[in-house]
Amino acid sequence: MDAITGMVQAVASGGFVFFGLILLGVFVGMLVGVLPGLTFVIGVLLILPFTYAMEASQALVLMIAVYVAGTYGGVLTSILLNIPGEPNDVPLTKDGYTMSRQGRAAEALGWAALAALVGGIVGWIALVFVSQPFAALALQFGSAEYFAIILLGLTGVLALSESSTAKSFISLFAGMLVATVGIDDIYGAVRYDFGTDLLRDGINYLAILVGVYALTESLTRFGERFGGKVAQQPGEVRTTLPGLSAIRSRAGSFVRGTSTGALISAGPGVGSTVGAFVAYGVEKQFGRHKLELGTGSPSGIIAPQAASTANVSGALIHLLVLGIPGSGASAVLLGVFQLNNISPGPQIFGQQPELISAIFAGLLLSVLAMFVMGILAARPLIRMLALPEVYITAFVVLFAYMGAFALRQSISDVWIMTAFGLLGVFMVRGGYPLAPLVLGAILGPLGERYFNTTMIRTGGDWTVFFTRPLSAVLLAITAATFALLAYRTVKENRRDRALLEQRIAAG
Amino acid sequence: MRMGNTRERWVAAVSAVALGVAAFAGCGDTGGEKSGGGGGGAGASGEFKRPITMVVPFGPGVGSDQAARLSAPVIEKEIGQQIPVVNVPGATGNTGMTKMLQGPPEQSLAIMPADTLATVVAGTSSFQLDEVAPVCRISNAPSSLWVNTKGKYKDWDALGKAAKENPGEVAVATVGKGGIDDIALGSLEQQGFKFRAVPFAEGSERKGAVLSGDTEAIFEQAGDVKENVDAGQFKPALLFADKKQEGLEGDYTLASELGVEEFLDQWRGIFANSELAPEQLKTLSDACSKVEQDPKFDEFRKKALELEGGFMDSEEFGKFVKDEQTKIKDLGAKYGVFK
Repeated sequence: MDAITGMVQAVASGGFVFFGLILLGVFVGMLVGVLPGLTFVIGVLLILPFTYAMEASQALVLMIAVYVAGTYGGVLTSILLNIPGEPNDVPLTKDGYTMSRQGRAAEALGWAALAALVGGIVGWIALVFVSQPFAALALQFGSAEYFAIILLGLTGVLALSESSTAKSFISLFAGMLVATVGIDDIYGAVRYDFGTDLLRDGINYLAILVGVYALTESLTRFGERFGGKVAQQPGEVRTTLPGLSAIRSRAGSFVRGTSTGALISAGPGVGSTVGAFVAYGVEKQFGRHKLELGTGSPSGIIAPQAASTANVSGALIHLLVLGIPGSGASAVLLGVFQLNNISPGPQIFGQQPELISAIFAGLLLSVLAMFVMGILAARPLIRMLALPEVYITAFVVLFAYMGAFALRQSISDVWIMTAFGLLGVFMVRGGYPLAPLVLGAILGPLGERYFNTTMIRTGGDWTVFFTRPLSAVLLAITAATFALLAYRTVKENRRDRALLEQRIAAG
Repeated sequence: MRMGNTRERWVAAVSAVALGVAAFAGCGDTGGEKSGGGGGGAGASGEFKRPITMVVPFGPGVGSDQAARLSAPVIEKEIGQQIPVVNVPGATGNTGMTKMLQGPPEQSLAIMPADTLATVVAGTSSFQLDEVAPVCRISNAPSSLWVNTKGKYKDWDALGKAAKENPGEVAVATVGKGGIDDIALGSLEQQGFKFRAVPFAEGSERKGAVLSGDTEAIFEQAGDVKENVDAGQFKPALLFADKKQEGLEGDYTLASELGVEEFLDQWRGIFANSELAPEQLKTLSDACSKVEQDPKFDEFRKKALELEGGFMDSEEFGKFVKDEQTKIKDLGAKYGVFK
């Protein structure tokens, strides 16, 4: 009950500004969702410099609105035009666009809107009711447990990557290595600065994020001359919400999608995209309508969309309770906390109750605003597609530079951002995934810090990781994941070699 | 054909980026470094012709930030120029101090705490003491060891006894290696209480470590753990001073009672570039003397349990910083903190 009172108070004290920020955030989120080439991670990154003058709660509410709406905006283009606006929209494109071609576009949009609403609200309920008890538990975690969580997160990043394991590994280690540059937290030792001031201050992970997401994407699209995705206009944009009996017959898809999204986001390093893919997979395996999937089934829209939106809450639970970001977007949110000198973690619930209430209220209102705007603003949003991508990209590049400079008012970050933007282009061309690089840069230093602290605390006794029960369990899961990963890689390699040999044999 | 195409694209892409950066670098120049050079003539009169940026070398909201944001308006009123406050956190204040020194001397100020001075003594700082000119000291507070009210050791008697019986086994959460914290713990070791310092970079982790029982105590000033004390989580066990602190309640022990004679307090002061004209330094120092009488600043000081009489003018503060530097160096060497 306290939670509800707090949220009402947060909204009341925020006033019109609070609502204004949510509407703005939802609009921006939907817009970046609709525009191909702009993902919601870029959306939250680009809006970041504009939040510097705001209070922490306002900045966070705005970013959360962008984040939530960003998981939904891409639906419009996916269903109407077969253009997934976001990577997490890819699974629903199949059934969504098929329905569109069957003349059932309005119906498809209705199912998607409803799925996002259900996923968002169920996720929100989980956030409100799970995060506090989880925080009470997490207060007991020592640095050994945190180290084990980070290690599991790093392994999870590899396990869920869609690229080859070896390339993900290289990307991850590059990120971890880069993050060691600068003055270390514990001993104050200067590492890898090569005598330059630029590197001495360390490499801000937000500069890496802006570089590899915003700049890399812009350059890549520029390199492709913005080709490929033809932005035609659909004939009619209408949304028809499904009736109650139809909803009842699809209830299972809602439940499976939402729970898959929420559960899967409990693992660190797992974003909405993975959630959506896994939810689609689950639906295909176990769904009541599994046979009609791929032929224009609403279930093929409901499950991935509900999972994508529910995933936001999971990521927030992770970030708020443990202070560890699980995805690119929540890493940016962590940046907002840090810029306001607030450290998310189990203590935040006791120390910043107003901020937590504002976040809870902001998420709920964002989900509702997203639902309404998704139905009402679909047509104008789709119109935005007529805007030549080159203009949008120009703005992205401009905002990327502004954002990088604004991080610390330092030109160093501008150079670092540029360097990572270029590195990102080469990585994309070489088939190296970018997410492990970013998460390695964020989680690597945290892992190092927790490891060091644990070692200093115990006087160098490493058995503590195995003798503390929770840490031991987490490490066992990590080891199992790792074994699976190794097995998969070996299998992949064997298959590749077999293919190659076949081809050679065939001449 | 494909090759040529690719190369063309690459040249275009790279030049677009280069253009962007150039445009940016251009903006930076006009806005910052170069514009200050011309105003040198004004220095002799002690007046300021342009707004002065005050750098807080830590994030928003912490003690240094609050102190800067409360003192800036007071100084603004006295000298008739605006003093915008910017946060440039990093490396125990070094990133911000470097930023201040890069600006034109008569448009740059920074607030700096004792912890940052310790990095100068330790030789890990990115600036030297003769590059900065002390303007005034605005606050001063002693540090304490705090224990978890629900923890294993609930007061100094229990904590000290455990440290004596198991030297180096009882853990204290500190800021970082080689800081004021280590020197204070060194002074306790001298008296037979050997603790294990466990450094945590973030304030919240430091506090979290005591709450989770990862460490038995934490080294902090009263102002930084006020929330935890009010919430009944922490209580003071040992105060590094020779008399009780006004406003600090509880049955804590004084380090002087254990035989510790020298203490390093946590102070904060305003610093300028040492190239600033002496007349202008005097103007700032005089303006700063009004800060301690400001009711809002006084309220902050009382809330953060800072000591009364923390103010020092430029001259007195200059001597103090020199003495403090020697003291940190000597004590650091004595207790084996700086090797």
